[in-house]
Amino acid sequence: MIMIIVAPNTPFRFGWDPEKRAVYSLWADNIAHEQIASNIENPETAKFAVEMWARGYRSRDREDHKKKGYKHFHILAEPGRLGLKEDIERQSLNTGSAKAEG
Amino acid sequence: MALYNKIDAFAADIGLGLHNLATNQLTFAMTTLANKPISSADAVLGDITEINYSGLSSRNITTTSWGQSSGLATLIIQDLVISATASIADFGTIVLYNNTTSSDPLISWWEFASDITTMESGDTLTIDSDQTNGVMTIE
Repeated sequence: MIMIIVAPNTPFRFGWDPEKRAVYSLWADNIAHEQIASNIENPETAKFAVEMWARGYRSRDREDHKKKGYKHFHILAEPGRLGLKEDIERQSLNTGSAKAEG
Repeated sequence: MALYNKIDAFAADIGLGLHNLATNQLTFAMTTLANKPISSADAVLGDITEINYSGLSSRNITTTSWGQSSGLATLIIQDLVISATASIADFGTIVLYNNTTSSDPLISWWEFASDITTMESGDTLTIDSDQTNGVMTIE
């Protein structure tokens, strides 16, 4: 197994074997467990295959949670905008009609 | 959407070399609303009163990227799902901090409308952030 891939928000790790061109789920000792993708030629495609698998896992996990009556809390975090005020003001001066005169 | 709350000290901390936002381990702390951070006064994890995390899965964040384009730097993190394996202490805020720097400097925080008091075994909390604008931009 050449490349280990972690799938966030799942309990699993995955490995890409370039010789077999396949991605496997792994046991704790990085031994291949189950093949999840085939004909994987490069690391980027391997990561994409893992993310697609993980999305399916998370979706099934959420459905399973709903069926069992578990609650699902959610918070959508607003992005913060931090600015360098002097820089913003300087840009305004440079693009405005007023120009500094020497 | 939960509004972004800046930790004032962060503005200085980035110039003091306390943060490598590309590689440091960022983590969410949690407090009740009654103990929410004071942006002008609180600077490190030790300044806030965290909840008891017993029964909660990892609060460690996976950072997607920290980079700049045309002078706009953006911190993008992956959404985090926290699972409960027991009844969880009440909480009402999530606080982003740097878990690599020894002082655990705070970065920002967001709050719920009211404390979550009913998180129990099997329940989950998703901390959802913008995958384009990230949790923070600096320009």
